[in-house]
Amino acid sequence: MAYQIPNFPDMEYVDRKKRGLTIQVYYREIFRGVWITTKHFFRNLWKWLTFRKGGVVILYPEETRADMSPNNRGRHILVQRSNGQPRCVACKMCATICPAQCITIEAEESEDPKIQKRPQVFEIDLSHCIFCGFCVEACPVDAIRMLPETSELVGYDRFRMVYDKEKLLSWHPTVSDDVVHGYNPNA
Amino acid sequence: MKEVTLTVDGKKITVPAGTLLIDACEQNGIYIPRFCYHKHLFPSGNCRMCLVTIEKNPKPQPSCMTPVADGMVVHTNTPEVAEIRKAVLEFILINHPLDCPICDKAGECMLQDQYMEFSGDKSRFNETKVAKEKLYHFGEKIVYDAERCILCSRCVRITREVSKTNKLGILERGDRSYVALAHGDTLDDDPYAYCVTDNCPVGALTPTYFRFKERVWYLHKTPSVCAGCSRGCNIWIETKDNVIYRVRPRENDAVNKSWMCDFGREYYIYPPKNRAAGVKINHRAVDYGKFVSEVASLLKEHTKETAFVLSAYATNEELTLAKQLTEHLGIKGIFHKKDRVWQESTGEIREDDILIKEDKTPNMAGVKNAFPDAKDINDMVISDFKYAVVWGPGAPLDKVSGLELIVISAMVDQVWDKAKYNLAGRISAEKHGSFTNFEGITQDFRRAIKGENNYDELTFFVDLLKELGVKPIGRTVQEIQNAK
Repeated sequence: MAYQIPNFPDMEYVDRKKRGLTIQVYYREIFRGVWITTKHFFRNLWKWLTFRKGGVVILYPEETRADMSPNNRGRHILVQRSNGQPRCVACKMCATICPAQCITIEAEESEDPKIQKRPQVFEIDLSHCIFCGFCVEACPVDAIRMLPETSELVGYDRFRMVYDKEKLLSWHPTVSDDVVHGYNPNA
Repeated sequence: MKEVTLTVDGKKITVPAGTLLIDACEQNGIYIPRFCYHKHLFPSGNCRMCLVTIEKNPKPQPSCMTPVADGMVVHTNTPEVAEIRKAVLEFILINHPLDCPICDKAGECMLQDQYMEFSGDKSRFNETKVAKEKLYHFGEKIVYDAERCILCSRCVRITREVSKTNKLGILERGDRSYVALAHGDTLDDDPYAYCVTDNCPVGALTPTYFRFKERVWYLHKTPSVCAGCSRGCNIWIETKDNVIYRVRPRENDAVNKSWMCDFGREYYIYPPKNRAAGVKINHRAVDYGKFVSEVASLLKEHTKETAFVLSAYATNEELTLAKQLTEHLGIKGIFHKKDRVWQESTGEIREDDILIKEDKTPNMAGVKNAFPDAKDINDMVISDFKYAVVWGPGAPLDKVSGLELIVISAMVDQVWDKAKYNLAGRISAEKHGSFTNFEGITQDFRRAIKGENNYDELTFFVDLLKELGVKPIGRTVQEIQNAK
């Protein structure tokens, strides 16, 4: 009569191969890496001394790159409605598809009964983000975008790389009231 | 019972006469899609999703309304049936708002699943969808969205057949139909109201406690047994990050079918405020090992003056170890108590003839099986004892107040405050084990969440037995069950 719950056996998930002696002794690879960086350092130094092209990097932040592709996926922005509220409906599609799991969303009830759901917390941890753009593709209401204009990714520490809802809405304000998926019951 | 043989998709199957065709197919591994049909409700046959073709029958028949007959030849996977299913889904989806991103049912929605499996067509509907009430509160517990509703009438039948309150009905006609309550009525006083949300095939009826809290694909389901009363309803506890988000009934024809009461859910969803924590001697936190050794030496010295009060929240495995302990020490004064009794002030129902039982503890039958000689605590003669091990909350204060107390409990109450030795225990969602319900059915359950700063009673008894120099029957639930 008792409902028996099956026991799950402990499984070995990782198939680890035995390493050979040449891989265990890794000093050879370290010196090879050091040699590559040293080689590039002296090559660039020589270019700079002889006033050749490509010798020096851009002097950031006074100079920025001009050759940014129009398809470049920069940092995220949240699109606003014309009343300043986020377009986001907190469906968590972006958080679900995110391979780095860097999006945190908590939903709440909206005052507008047509919208119903809106984000209370919307955070992107840009230090975890891999800029794959899946969140933009997954969004059903065109609420999250990645623009080439906002490509810079700098911060003093990793805690300041967590962008909250207010920052994502306001630091490159974009307003759109287009109906995306064609559902508008009171139109 | 008379049996009939019929052919489904070229396969000969034999079922008892009177079985519905949809059940006969499902028992033999052929799933027929459905919206309105539910195993434990009277069939209604209004969604038409389960239409199948029967030879010598001029038109396709709804398999949920057709009893099996001898020599019937049924087809469920012909192109004709596939076409019917596509057409039915297209019809249902005409006025469906497709707001899956904000729908709490998305991910476990029957309409989503069956659209992906049986249709996948793009919409050909260019007109305006019928706008209906989007936010209709059926009282505080349940929110109804008339646009998402596909009018399968499952909720109506649940209030008619399960809770027997007859509160819901379908008003208006055609595409203006919607589910409604009588004017001014709510579902708050219906003790089985949340069942309508579990069994809604779409997201039309959603519980307010879970509204917008979490998407369902993030939840981890754990099979458990409700500890709210002695019925022992089978449940799924759905958790994420050690928080219980939702509790739903687990199907079991022998105990609770597909239903459970709202009090059982609230028992898990709203965690009690007065949870005990830590291990204390004289109200001061001590090391767990020190506690075990002190209790062991105390019990060893004062065996005859010690009363052992059992908990009806204890699992059968813990009771096995407690029995081993008392037999080893020779404790004679063993008592059982009702840890939780019905109180009118909570608004809980005392007893009904559907599921709710008067005994509000889950394992009274298990206690009586393990300790047949145990007496009720109200028959305890207080002058016989100097010490008492009180296990679980709810002991009557006048019976134990003069004694030196060792309390093992998950809840803080007056007895906990009076005790010299305190050990915080766990509630049933935090441990493995099994309960025996009032009918004598023993059911296993598994841990859904981790306890915070409290100790498993099973481990405590194992440690206590080891301290006394006895080999315990088993150290885990599995070992004890195998040893029995």
